[in-house]
This record gives sequence, C-alpha cells and structure tokens, in this order.
Amino acid sequence: METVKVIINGKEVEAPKGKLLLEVCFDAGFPIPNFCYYKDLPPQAACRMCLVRIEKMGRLQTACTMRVSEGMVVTTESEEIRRARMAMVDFILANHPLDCPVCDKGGECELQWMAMNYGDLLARFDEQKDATGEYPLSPFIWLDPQRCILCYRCIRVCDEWVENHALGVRGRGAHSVIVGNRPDGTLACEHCGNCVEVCPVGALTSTNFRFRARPWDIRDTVTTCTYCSDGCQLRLSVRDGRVVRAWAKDLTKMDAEFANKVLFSFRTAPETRHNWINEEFLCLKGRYGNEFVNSPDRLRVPLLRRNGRLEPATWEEALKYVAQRILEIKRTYGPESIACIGSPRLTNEDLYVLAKFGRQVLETPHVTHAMDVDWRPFFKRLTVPLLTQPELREQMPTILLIGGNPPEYNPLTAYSLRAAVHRHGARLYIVSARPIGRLQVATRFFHIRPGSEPAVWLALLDEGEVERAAEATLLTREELYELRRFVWEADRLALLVGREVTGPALEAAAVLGGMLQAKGERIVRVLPLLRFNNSLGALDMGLVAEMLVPEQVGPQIKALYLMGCDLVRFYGDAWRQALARAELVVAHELFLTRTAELAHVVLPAMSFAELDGTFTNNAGQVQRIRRALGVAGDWRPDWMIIDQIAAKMGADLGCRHSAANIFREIAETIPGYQGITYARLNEEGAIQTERPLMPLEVIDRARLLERLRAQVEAIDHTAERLQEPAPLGIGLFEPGTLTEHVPLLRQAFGWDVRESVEVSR
Amino acid sequence: MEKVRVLSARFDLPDSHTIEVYLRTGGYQALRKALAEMTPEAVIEEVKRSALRGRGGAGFSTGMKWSFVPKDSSKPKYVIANADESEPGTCKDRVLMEKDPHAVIEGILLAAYAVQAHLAFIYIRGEYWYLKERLEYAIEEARAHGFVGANILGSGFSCDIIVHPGAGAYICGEETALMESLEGKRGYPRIKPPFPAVVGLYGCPTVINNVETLASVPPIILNGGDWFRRLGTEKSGGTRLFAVSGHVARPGVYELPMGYSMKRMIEEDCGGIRGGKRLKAVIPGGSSAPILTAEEVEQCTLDFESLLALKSMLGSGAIIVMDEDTDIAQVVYRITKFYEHESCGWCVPCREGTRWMRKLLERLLRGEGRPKDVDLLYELARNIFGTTHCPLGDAAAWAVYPAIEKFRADFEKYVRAAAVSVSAEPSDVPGARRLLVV
Ligand SMILES: Cc1cc2nc3c(=O)[nH]c(=O)nc-3n(C[C@H](O)[C@H](O)[C@H](O)COP(=O)(O)O)c2cc1C
Ligand code: SF4
Ligand code: SF4
Ligand code: SF4
Ligand code: SF4
Ligand code: FES
Repeated sequence: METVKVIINGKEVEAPKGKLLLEVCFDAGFPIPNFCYYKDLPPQAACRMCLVRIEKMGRLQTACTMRVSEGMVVTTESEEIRRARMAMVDFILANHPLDCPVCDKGGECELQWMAMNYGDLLARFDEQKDATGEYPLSPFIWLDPQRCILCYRCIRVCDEWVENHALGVRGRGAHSVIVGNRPDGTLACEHCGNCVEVCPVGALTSTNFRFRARPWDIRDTVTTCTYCSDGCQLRLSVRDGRVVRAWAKDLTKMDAEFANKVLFSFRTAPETRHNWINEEFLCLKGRYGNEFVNSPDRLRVPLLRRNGRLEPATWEEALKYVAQRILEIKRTYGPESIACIGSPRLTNEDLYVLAKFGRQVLETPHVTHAMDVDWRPFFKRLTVPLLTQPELREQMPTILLIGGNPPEYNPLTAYSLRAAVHRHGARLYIVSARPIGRLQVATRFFHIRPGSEPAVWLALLDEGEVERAAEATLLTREELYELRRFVWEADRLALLVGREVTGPALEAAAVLGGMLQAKGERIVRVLPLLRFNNSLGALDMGLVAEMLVPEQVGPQIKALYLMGCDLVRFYGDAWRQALARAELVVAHELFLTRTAELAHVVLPAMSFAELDGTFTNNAGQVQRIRRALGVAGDWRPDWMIIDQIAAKMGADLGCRHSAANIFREIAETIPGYQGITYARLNEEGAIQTERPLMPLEVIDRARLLERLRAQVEAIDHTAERLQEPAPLGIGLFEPGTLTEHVPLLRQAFGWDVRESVEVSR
Repeated sequence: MEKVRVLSARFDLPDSHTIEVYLRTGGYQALRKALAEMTPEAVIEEVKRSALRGRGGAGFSTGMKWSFVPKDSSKPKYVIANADESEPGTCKDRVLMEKDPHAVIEGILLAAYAVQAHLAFIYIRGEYWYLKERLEYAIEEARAHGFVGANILGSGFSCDIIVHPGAGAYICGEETALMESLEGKRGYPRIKPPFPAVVGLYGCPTVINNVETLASVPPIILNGGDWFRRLGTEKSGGTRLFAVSGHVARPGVYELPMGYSMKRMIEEDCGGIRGGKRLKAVIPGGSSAPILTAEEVEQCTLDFESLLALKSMLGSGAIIVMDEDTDIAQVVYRITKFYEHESCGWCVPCREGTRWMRKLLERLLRGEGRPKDVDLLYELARNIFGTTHCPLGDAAAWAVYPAIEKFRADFEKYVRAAAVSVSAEPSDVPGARRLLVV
C-alpha cells in the first residue's frame, strides 16, 4: 500500500494514501470531534464539527471528507479551530430541547460529550425554540425531531447495513425532519433498530427501552445472541433484575475516554474490548427479542404429572421421579428404548452433558437434536476451513451465495456481504430461486428454477455437466460458464451455502473448496448458513443420531428425554400422539410449550441470560454467553439438572458444579476445541475451532458426481422461477418459542399467541 | 467605454425568439464554423482567450473549466445549462431565454462540441414554465434545421438537448445540488472535490455553465476570443447583462461592458436614484454579495477584480440599489429570511445559523433588542462564514456581517429604542422585562 507523510500538529505521521484525515488524526493520537462521520459509512460533511486547518487551503476543511496526500500540513488544535467547534456546538444546541434529565440518551449522549468538551460555558441562544413533539415511527422506534442533529447516520445505516432504504428527510432547512418510507412518514422496514443505535443523541429511541433506565442504573453483560447461527455479540443491559435492552455500539471507536465513561458500570478488560464478529450490527431478534427472559410465563418450579395433571413439585420429588422411571424403563425395555433430544439453542455445555448422559448413563444410541436441515454430510466431508464474518467482510474479493435468504435468516451474513461490496468492491454473485430483496448490492444475480440448486453445484464441479445443469436450472450455458469462471479463476473465494442445498449437493459444497485449492494456489472458505445459534455446537457435541420419526414412539421408544425442544411445534402434530404413547416424557423448558404440556415431568431451565456457557456459530467460532441476570425463579442450568438426575441414578457425569469445568472437558475431548478456555474466550472474543478436514483423495468423487446427477435428474423440471422476492419478515417476523414471549414483538406483529395452559400451583 | 450590444443585440427585434430571426442575424454561424473548421481543443482555446468568466456567480474562467474535462474518459460526458436563476434580484437569464433562446442553444451545442458531449440539459427554474415551452419549441426548430440531434450539419457530431424544470429550490441552482436534483434526488450539494468536470451528472464528466455564459460563446467563436476580451477588461472579458433593481429611476436589464463604472451605470443608464434621493448602499451581486456603501460605489467598476478588491463580488450581476431612506437592518432581515427559507438544511451552521439570525433580527426589529444583540448577530454570521458545506451559507453570512460593519447604526437604533422604552415604560414593551433581568 502506498503511504504518504503528513504533518499533524507538528508531528510527522505516515499513513496510507487516500485515508480519511480524520482517521489518520485519530490514529496519530489527535482525536477530532465529529457527529456525522461514521466509520465505513459514506462521508457527509454535514455537522462541521471536524473542521481543521490545512496549509495552503483558504478555509477550514472537514477532516471527515479530506483524504491525506503527501506533504499535507494539518493543524487540529488552535484558537481558530477551538472557536469553530464552539460555534458548531452553539448552533446545534440552539434549537435543541436540552431535556437531558428526561432524555433516554442522557449519560451516554455524544452531544452531551461534545458540549462538555468543546462547547461554550454559556449558551447564547435566547430566542423561542421551535418545539416539536415526539412520536413513533414504528412499533419499535420513536423519533424526537427536536433532538435530532441531522447527522444522517440513521439514513446511511439503513441504506448500507440493512439495505432497507427506509429513512429519508422531509422538509427543508431548519424544518428538515427524518421520516420513514411510508406516505405518512412511518416505517415499513425490518425493524432492526440499528438506526437507533447509531443515533448520537436521543432523537431515535427504542420503544422497549424508553423511560426504563438511565445508563448509570444499568449493568451490562457482553454475551452471544440466542437466535441465528451467525452468532452476534451483544451487551445485555439489566436493571433491577430485568433485561431492558440489547445493544452493540462500539463506543471506543469514537473516543476511548467517552467509552470508559459510558461503560463504567462494567469496565472489566475483556468485555470493553469491541472486536466483535458483528462489529456494531444487530438484527430485530438480537436487539428486540431478548425480553422473553423477563416473561411472567416462565416456568418457575418443576411440574410433575399427578392424576393426569401437571402440578408443582419440589426439585427433589421431580428429580427422584425421573431417575426412578428412567431406571425402570431401561430395565424393562432396554437402553435403546430411551431417546435424548436436545435443542440447537442450548449451550455446548448443556448439550455435551446431555450427550454424555445419553451414551454413558442411559447407554442409548438415540442421542440427537431437532434439526431443520441435515447438515451432517457437509461437515463430514468438509475440505476447507469455515469462513468467519470478518474474513467475509474484509478479505474475500469473490463471493458466491447459492440458496438461502441471509437478510431474513442470517442477518449478520447479509450485513457482511454488503460490507464486502461497499468497503472493497467485492464481487458478489447470487444464485437463487427467488429474488432477494435486500441484497441489491450483488454484482450478478442468477435466477434459477426452484429446487435446482444441486444442478448448479453439479455444473461447478464438472464442466461436462453444464448442458444438463442448464436444462435443470433455466440458466443459459453462458451463465453457467460465467459462474464456473467466477469460481475457478478466483484467488480468494467465499462460498456461502443456503439451506436449499441438501443431500449430495451439500457434500459437493463441502468438497468443491478442496478441489479448487488442489487446482492451484488459492484460498477458499465456506460458510454454511445454519439456522440456530448453536446448530453447529449440537453437531459437535455429538447429538448426531438419526432423528426419530413419531411412529417409533410407542413400539420402540418408551421414554423421551427432551431438552429445550418443542417437538410438536418443530415437527408437527403427529408428535402429540407420539408423546401420548410414551411412558415417560421429560422436558427441560423455559415455557410450557405444546410439547411440555404433554410431558410427565417439566423441569424449569435457565435462559441464556442466566447462564454461563458457550455457543459455536456457523463459522465454527466458539463464543461465550455470560450470566447477566440473578435468580428470579427456582430454575437450574440444563447441565445441572442432568448431573443431578445422573447422581440419583448412581452415576457421576463429572460436571464438578460449573460450566467452566464442563467446557474444560469439551476442550479435551471434542475435536477442534483443543486449547480453548473461558479465559481465552474472555480475552479474544471468538475463537475458531480447527475442524478436521477431509483429504480430497479419500473422497470418492466419481460416486459423488453420480449421486449428484441422480439428484439433478429428480428435480421437477416443470417448476417456474419465482418472480416475487420472499415477503419482508418471512423469517424475521415469524413467531418462535422464545420470541412469542416478547411483549414488544407480540404487539408489533399482532401475533395471536396461544394462551398458556392453566397450571395449578 | 464603448457600449456594444452582444448578448442583447436581438432583444428589440420583433419575433427575436424565432429561428428565422436568429438565422437572419448570424445565428448558428458559429456552430457551423466550429464544426467545419475547428477542433474541440481549438474551441476551448478560443474561449480561454476570450477571458469569459462564469456569469452564474463564482466567475470562474469558462475555458479553463472546459479544459478540465478528461479527454480520455470512457464515460459519456454531459453539458448542463444552469437556468435555475433564483438569486434575489437576478432576472437576466430570463430575458435571454425569452428573447434569444437560440443563442443559448447554440452556446450549449458549442460547449458540447468542445467537450464532446452528446447530451445536454437545461435545468430551468420551475416558475419559468413558459420559458421551458419556449426553449423546447426552439430546440425543435433547431432540430428541424439540423442543428440539434444526430449528425449535426453532416459533421458526424451529435447532440441532443433536454429541458428539465426545477421544483422551487434556490439551492438547486448550486451546481452539484442541481445534478442531484436532475438525477431525481433531493437537491443537496455534493462534497467537492471531485468537481463536476470530472465526476458530475450520473458520475460522468460534466460541464455546467450559466445560461448567459453559454450565450456568450457563439459571438466569441464567430468574432474571436481577442475581440471579446477587448470589450471588457484584461481579466474579465466581454460584456455582461446587469439586472438593476431597487431605487433607481429605470430598473431593468442592461448590457454593459465589464469594467464599466458602477456610478455611471446608476446615474446615466438607470436614470439615477428615484425621486432625487441620495444613494445609501448597493448590493452588487445578487443578495449573496457583501453590501457596498455609497463611497465604495464611487470607486467601483463592474468587473470581478474591482469588486474583489472591495471584498465583495460581482456574483450573478444583479445590482440592488438602495436610497438614503433604506433601513439596512430591515434589508438584512429580509435577506436572512430568504436564506433561512432556502437553506437546504444539510449542514449545521447554515441550517441553524440562518434560523437563529432570523429570530434574533425579528426580535431586534420588534423592539426587543438588547445591547449585546448586534455583536451576537455579527458573531453568528462570522461563525457561519467559512464553515459551511456550500456557498449558500457563506452568502447568508455575507448578507449580514459586512452590513453590520458598514451600517451599524441602523441596527443599534433598535437596541436604543428598546432601552429607552424600558426605562420609560417597562410594562409596555413585550419582552422588555427580560432586559431587566439580563
Ligand atoms: C446557492 C447557490 C445558488 C446558485 N444558483 C445559480 C443559478 O441560479 N444559476 C446559475 O447559473 N448559477 C448558480 N449558482 C452557481 C453555480 O453553482 C455554478 O457556479 C454556475 O452554474 C457555474 O456556471 P458559470 O461558470 O457559467 O457561472 C449558484 C450557486 C450557489 C452556491
Ligand atoms: S440528546 Fe443528548 S443533549 Fe439532547 S437532551 Fe438528550 S441527552 Fe441531552
Ligand atoms: S429499524 Fe433498521 S430497517 Fe428500520 S429504519 Fe431503522 S435501520 Fe432501517
Ligand atoms: S435521528 Fe439521530 S441518527 Fe438520524 S439524523 Fe437525527 S441525530 Fe442523526
Ligand atoms: S450551506 Fe446551507 S445550503 Fe449549503 S449545504 Fe449547508 S445547509 Fe445546505
Ligand atoms: S464529522 Fe466532518 S462534517 Fe461531520
């Protein structure tokens, strides 16, 4: 990279040519106050806070738009500049309501900070202010236009991070107001709340957080999101034992001192560091989907079925009952009559203990978890390492996405794809049966026949199959050759695999990387778009047996040990009868789900906000979840419940009373997890597991091609391309076991949530 | 100084807007000449030699501007005629387009040939809807004669012209805001650099010139750059249309050579101050230029250099003349209101500063002024000046602080009036009590 020498306040500094002066100054230790500047967003030159003097230039220049060039001589501190900054603060505060005492932002407001540091002692504005009220833009977001300083961060974030283009400005001059995209000025968007987060002041606020806490009442805990497999980091803010918000803003980026002031309540070293895989991004669920933990519907005590009704019981009663029944069933029907099914939402620690319990204590082969797509063949044949989000954003000039709908199901991946295009002009090719509304940044879009994804992989693997693939996909031969060139000629390639890719095609997706790397010097990484926050962890922890079909229950399976998985909801009503046929159903749950209702024993578990543990995201990165809440019910971690049952059965699972101890064992026994510790996770944030890769020679590629061909032959060749993109919110706005207990989401989307069944207390 | 009529030569002819009259009076000869005899570079050279400087406001050398357009760019190039004419006091482009639309069209075609653009736009002030029709009619006339469209006059050079109306925003006269608007977006000024000559309309190299600037080009090509330059001064070539308004006996649009005496213009051409009053002040370049006192007017000539020396500017060539009865504080208030209304709102100092100044002035003029107000107003304007994103903010400041420097008494008298009434009858004056608190 070409560098240039510039002189800043008399100090000679070397910097990459063309870098923004504001960033160069920041790095050189001369932070420049700013509002409208935001890292990686297009420069605005709007707030004029960043004015500096550059020699040989007539007027003060905005450091946020100026790019450094050789020999530039810059002054960032002088009387003239001090006065200019003071003037800007003066102007901004002129019509500002200054209602800091009742403003949600007070205490972590960038304007307060700037006013204290750069403003005048006295405000000189002595005219009538033009007052405006505050009003909601959406069920999630409120706007107070008078507090707005028009930095346009919200608009740009909506354009660039989430591609909703839902915000704009209405009116001119001092009457300019931020508005939403509906004719009446409200918002029709995906409600990610990122606009609220980047707002430097209290102009945009979130409905769930408004008037609920001041920053100094809050304790923040850095943890991992409990929704999709991308694995965003977030801070859970807790006040008086209740989660009041989730946020991800990187305050250190603005000013280390400011960051420390705002984050004073949790100034522990590893957690203030913001090297998060999601930078500052969160989606609707990650941001607004956490308040299920506060829900009054949470199960608070164990329930035991007596005379056909679930009734409260003590832990001792419940655990004893379970241990006893399991032993009886095992004795009567044999170990294979018991099945353990976990949930891909639980921690590695919980799932590991469940698997160990199933194998070592119950001695059953039926240890598995609820999967939406069977990814096992993929991980079995993985030939290249998994792709992390930072790699996707920064290091991959060529990106191919086949299938999937990242904006809806893997929102962080969608953000990273956009960032790759915006930041370094990555070429993004998308192959999909439906247009993807919010990935318009794509360089090329290949519109295929629904269900024909396998044919694309076939063509990518084998040039001789282009003809067949063209027929199946409705793409032209030229288009398929273009895709082949894109993949085979790339130096650094990211392959993203959506959940439409199944069976042999999924194996092909795992193998292609290895084939490409064998062909020549190049780097290929692959990202499987798994569904749940710990889908990969569940596979890693060994819950990999074939999932049961409901018909097995009764004749073959007599006892079901369910950990956090609502089979009825997940797999359908056929499971109701299946559960009725079982002699024993044990369910660890947060809520009385459709499945738990039918159980014999329901054990109240802890949520991710009450637990310590780890999740493994779709890039194979292990990240911590941390206990953010105290105890509000008589609930226990899943692993502890199992440990106690095992103890009652006379077995020792070796949990030694802590998740950290369990994780130590995971690191010793699970391939890829070696060397990872909680201490390192605290220090480094995310640590990627080193997955065993399959050598290409071992794979019978001829056989794979054959199976893939058969899969392609089976494609319905009469199906037409889907012209309409999937509707906004198809994934994001869908009610789930957790989200339907979040009042804000329930109200916003009008979910008609099933009344919970009356439980006698 | 000799008063030739270059731009206004056809203004008095009946049906001057028709192509027949235009052709009869030498119209499209320059285009014919350029296409047949001159390379694009030669056209640019001729314009450079003419010392033609932009008539839109900034007065930048037109030939230089054209030469900045990259020749090797693979992108299409565009020419835009800025006909947004919204500067208070300015009404010269209107007369040009009304009386001599073909001169504007021929100028556009010459500019397009010089930079090898094949599409040109006329961005016209929305209120000039009747001129839009006139221009479109003229373009069709020109097309019928083979001057517009494909393969102009068999030269192989093609160029089309589209007229696009604005929607009532002064800021859309600023060249980059204009381009945003033309692209269908909100008219916010862009960050410069890059300049339009390199990255302009739709990200392509673009020449944007004022209507009058473009209309000056055909005579330059026809008669030579040297001829044009000699009509004016060494650095400000040619003649120019001055829109004179205010307290003169004969307001109107006058074509005068650059370097002409301002005093002479007011006294001779415009018939002096109305009603035999004395001159008090002149705003020389539309509302955006710092005000001149009567003494300054004495030494002022109508060219870029002279006004620069007086720390003002010739701007759009709109001369607002004010007699001795004029209250400069009222003038400044009116102009400030204009800028507050027209501020696009993009940047803080202009958006908030103009509102603040307007409110302060309103209070001052209401008789609720306080001793520190004039200084505060002055300082606000100084704080706006040089800190804004586009020149509109500077203009808003220029309307205020030089006026305070030169006519402070006009402002102070409101403060005194307030102070007097406070001591006499505090309860009579709204807001006066606040004064006692201060
Ligand atoms: C706020 C503002 C308004 C402007 N309005 C006009 C206008 O109405 N007409 C015009 O020709 N130039 C206007 N300009 C100047 C243009 O930005 C630009 O300098 C001009 O069109 C260039 O043409 P010229 O070089 O021929 O003068 C305006 C500039 C500013 C800052
Ligand atoms: S936005 Fe900031 S400065 Fe404004 S009222 Fe809120 S806390 Fe105070
Ligand atoms: S919530 Fe998200 S999608 Fe909606 S306006 Fe804000 S940034 Fe855009
Ligand atoms: S609402 Fe907030 S982020 Fe958006 S422009 Fe206003 S101050 Fe900036
Ligand atoms: S100076 Fe005024 S008109 Fe220009 S960008 Fe700023 S707010 Fe808009
Ligand atoms: S940070 Fe540079 S103008 Fe706002």
